[in-house]
Amino acid sequence: MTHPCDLSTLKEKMQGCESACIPLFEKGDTVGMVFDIQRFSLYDGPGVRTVVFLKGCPLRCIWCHNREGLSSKPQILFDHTRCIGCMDCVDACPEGCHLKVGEQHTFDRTACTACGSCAGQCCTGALRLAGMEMTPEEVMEQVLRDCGVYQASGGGMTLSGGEPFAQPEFALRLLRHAKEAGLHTAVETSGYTTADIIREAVSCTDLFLYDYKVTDPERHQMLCGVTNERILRNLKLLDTLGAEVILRCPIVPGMNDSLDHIRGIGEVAVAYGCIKAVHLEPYHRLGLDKAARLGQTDIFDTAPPGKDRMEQYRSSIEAHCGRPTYIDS
Amino acid sequence: MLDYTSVSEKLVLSDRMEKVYEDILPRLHKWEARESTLCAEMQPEGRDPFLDVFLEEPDTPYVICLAKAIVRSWLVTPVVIHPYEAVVGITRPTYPFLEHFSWGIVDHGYKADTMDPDELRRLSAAIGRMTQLDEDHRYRTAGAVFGPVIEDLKKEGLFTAGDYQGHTIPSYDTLLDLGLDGVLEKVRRYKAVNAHDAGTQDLYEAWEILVIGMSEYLMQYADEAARLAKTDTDPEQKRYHQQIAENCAFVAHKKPQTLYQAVQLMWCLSLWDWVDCLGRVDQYLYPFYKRAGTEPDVIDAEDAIVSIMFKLWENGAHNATLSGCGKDGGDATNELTFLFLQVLRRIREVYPRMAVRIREDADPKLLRLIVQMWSEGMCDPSIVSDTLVIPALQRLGVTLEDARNYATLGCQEIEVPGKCDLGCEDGIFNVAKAFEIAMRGGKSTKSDRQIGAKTKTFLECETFEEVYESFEQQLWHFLPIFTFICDRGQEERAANHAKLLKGIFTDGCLEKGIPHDAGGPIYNYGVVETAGVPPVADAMTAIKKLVFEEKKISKEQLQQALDANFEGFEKIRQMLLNLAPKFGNDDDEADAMACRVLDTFWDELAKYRSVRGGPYTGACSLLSAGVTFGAQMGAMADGRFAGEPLGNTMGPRPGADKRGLTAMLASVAKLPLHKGVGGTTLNVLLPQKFLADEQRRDAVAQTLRHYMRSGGQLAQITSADLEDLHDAKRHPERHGDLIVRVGGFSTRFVQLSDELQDEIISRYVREGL
Repeated sequence: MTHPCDLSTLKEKMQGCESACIPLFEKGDTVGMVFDIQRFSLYDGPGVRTVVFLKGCPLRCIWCHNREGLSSKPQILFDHTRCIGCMDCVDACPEGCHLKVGEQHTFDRTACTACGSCAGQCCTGALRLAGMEMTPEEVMEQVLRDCGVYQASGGGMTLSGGEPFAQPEFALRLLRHAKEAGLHTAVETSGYTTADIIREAVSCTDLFLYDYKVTDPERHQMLCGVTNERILRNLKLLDTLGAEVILRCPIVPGMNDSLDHIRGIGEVAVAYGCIKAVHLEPYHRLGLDKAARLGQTDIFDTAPPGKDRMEQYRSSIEAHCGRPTYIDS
Repeated sequence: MLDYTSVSEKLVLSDRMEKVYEDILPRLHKWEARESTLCAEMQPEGRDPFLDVFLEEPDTPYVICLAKAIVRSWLVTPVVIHPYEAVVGITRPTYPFLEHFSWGIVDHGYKADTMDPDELRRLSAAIGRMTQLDEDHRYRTAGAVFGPVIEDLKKEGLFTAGDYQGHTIPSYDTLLDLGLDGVLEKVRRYKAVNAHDAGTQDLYEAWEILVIGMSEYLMQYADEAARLAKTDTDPEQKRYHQQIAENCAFVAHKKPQTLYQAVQLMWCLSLWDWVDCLGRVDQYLYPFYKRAGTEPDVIDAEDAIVSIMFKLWENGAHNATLSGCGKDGGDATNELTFLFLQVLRRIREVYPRMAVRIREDADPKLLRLIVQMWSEGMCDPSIVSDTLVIPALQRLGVTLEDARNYATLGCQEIEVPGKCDLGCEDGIFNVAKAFEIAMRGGKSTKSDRQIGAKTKTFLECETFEEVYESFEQQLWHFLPIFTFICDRGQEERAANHAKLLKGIFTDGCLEKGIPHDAGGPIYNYGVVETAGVPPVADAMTAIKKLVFEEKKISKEQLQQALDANFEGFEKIRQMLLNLAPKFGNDDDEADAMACRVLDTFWDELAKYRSVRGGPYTGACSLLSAGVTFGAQMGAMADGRFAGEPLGNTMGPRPGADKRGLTAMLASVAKLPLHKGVGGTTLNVLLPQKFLADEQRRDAVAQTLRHYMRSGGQLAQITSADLEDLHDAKRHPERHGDLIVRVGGFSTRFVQLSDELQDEIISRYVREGL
């Protein structure tokens, strides 16, 4: 796989390799809603990767740790620990959501349109806008900055979210651009999308990091907001189309760590040859901070599963399906 | 161990070497000062043998006295052969400040106030024999040229100049190639050709005395080993002592034939060279190692290498370089490259520090072993880029063949072994202080006196370019003064024959009959350590954007905030921190500013040539200077409080980089590092946790490989976990083996000052670690 960029000129140009790559892309009027771009990610596919987080998700898993990814619209994140009470946001907000009460700053979200005016004025970064409209070219400009490292490490771009296929046209365009630039591509998906989109995606996606959350359909409906029939159908479709899949299974104590489900994971992995490995993702509590920044309280919270327990699950699944099974840290 | 490239297996020492290892361990903690670049405990009680010669022979020329003093100091050192060891020779009480630096003895290890009065008289008499050139002299001479402003500059924290110049790498190739008799013959050959005047005659005579002294020293060991062998009752020890006797007697004169002989001779020079830097050990020992494969030696090849490594370890050797290319430019990585790494990995120590040269086509096995060592909590080896360094040396006038042979030394400086008088640094220049002075229109930051060029103050500037111009003018104003004082330092060392021994093993000195520090070597470029560039760049970017472009902060507000050290101006500080981009995030605007600042300084610096004849080049591996200079700085427009450290490498300020390792490396790789080939290093934090699995270790290896070929120069790794650092502050006794990087040093965390410990912890602020 050769890279179209001339790496030797990168340093002189001091502008990443977009100068060489961007002209290859067909321009379109698609824009997407992106809430983060993380470089030097080592967890979401092979090699060194950049992960692009797309906003919007059709599922509502109660343990979700990326809550700013659920809504398809921009949202304001407020980290009160960083606020120094300068009150610049009070003047900036056209809707009067930011108020000075005594010496205290308060933020009432009811009228907030997430216009971002307050975040633009915030000098501490306490207020931040999650969700920016970006063109595929703008995203690729960021992604391709590490093209030399992808080439050296066999890495590339991973789409995550939210659910990337909730913005199908944008997601597919990014994947095609990345493929044209010679990058390895991966999508982290719930699989809750249409068969057509899956078919399209297979042509430009090297690896699907495919969620498998709950085996029992009714319980899936209860815990994730939708049933898993469509998800399983699409998994079968990926198998038929010869895609490469890693199964990703969140393990949330008391929610989906029943023996039935652990067995279910093994069975799915046995059923589909496209599944190369199984990754178990123990529940963690890092999402609670983010929820607080979104002004959400009453969020699901439980203790992460113990190491021994996780190792039991791992070895039993590996023994069942014969595919390498890992615990993600 | 059959495969030295293995990451899963560790080296298993032979029974004999295991015993030597156990024997070394209890000796190690005797020397707390090992970190202070002293090779043994300071001055012993009573008479100092080093001084005797100067007093006994008042009419003998200084340089000859110095040579005799060096030899005598070695010959009166007890001959000690430790049980089971194969390579022999122990360090002596050390006199490095006279021998290697040649500046003021008092206050540099010799304590005038606690010394025996008799001894102090002897010391003064010896000092009286030296050309009296010390710091006072440097600044007095500068004062005569530049006026009383020099006194102000001394206190300003703008630079230190002409102080310290220690390390260079002698030519171990020459030593192993000729043997001591061959070296002596070479000295005499050039003496016959060159010694036309008394000074040169004396110099050659001094060199002869030293080489003969080294032979005598080895013979002392041969004799002692033979004596021990006679009385040994244990047949094994008897055999060992016989071998040592034979080995030392052989290399006392003859050119070494076997690997065992080579490492013994090498250790003798290393000892006499202040256990300084070793150069490319895996290259010059390789022909002997290969021969060992076909011609059996009295000890096996692995034990020979372990033996020399143990000596370097116990005695705190500075630096050894591995891998890189051969004369033809091809990959010179060999079995010894891996074996040296494996021994270091086995002893898990900070000595000798090691650097591995990384080529574009670096052997993946080599990278894998390096990252494995980091993942086990070691900071060594550091890595250095052939891609950048070789052409950069050529820009300094080094030939391609010599450039290909470069090695690292000291605290990550770079030179051609056996051909340079690079030394350590000629001076350290604090670019941030120059900027602070520029903001004040050239006025001192400690008083109201005009100490720099008269330029517009920050408040008088109408545009950002005027601010920048004022900064440039201060640099142009100060650099002639700074380099003038650096030059005086070079003169001092030359006048007092600093590094007398190295002259014998440095190409050019014998041939020209010129001392090591007077321009004798083939290459004489000087090195200026550069402090404060990233904070200045970030301050400039913030001023440009927030004051002049977006007008979010007025000049007056900013000035007030800086004067008040942000007290009552937290909002301004937050704006400076968060609303302007910072170097280290692959942000083109911020990075371009860092490039501009560095270009401005290093391009101007490159116009100056030292008295030795070579150009000055930049460098950045600052040890504690980032802390001491920072302590003398006021608040800065990058949001930095007064007194905070400036950082000790060319990386972003701790915590300023928030976009991950690749973005940070991309930023640094944009810098014109080819203009600072004196050794410009970078701190990279890779906590052990982060390197926990193989996939991540591979990804890190590839990321750094890419950095090395896309414009990076040096990288030094700290792999300690943050929790351990915090715990080590509370319970130092539990964390004696916690190793971190400061400037070019890897060192034990618990031995550092509070300020340096905090500085290291603050690096972890970076997101995700």
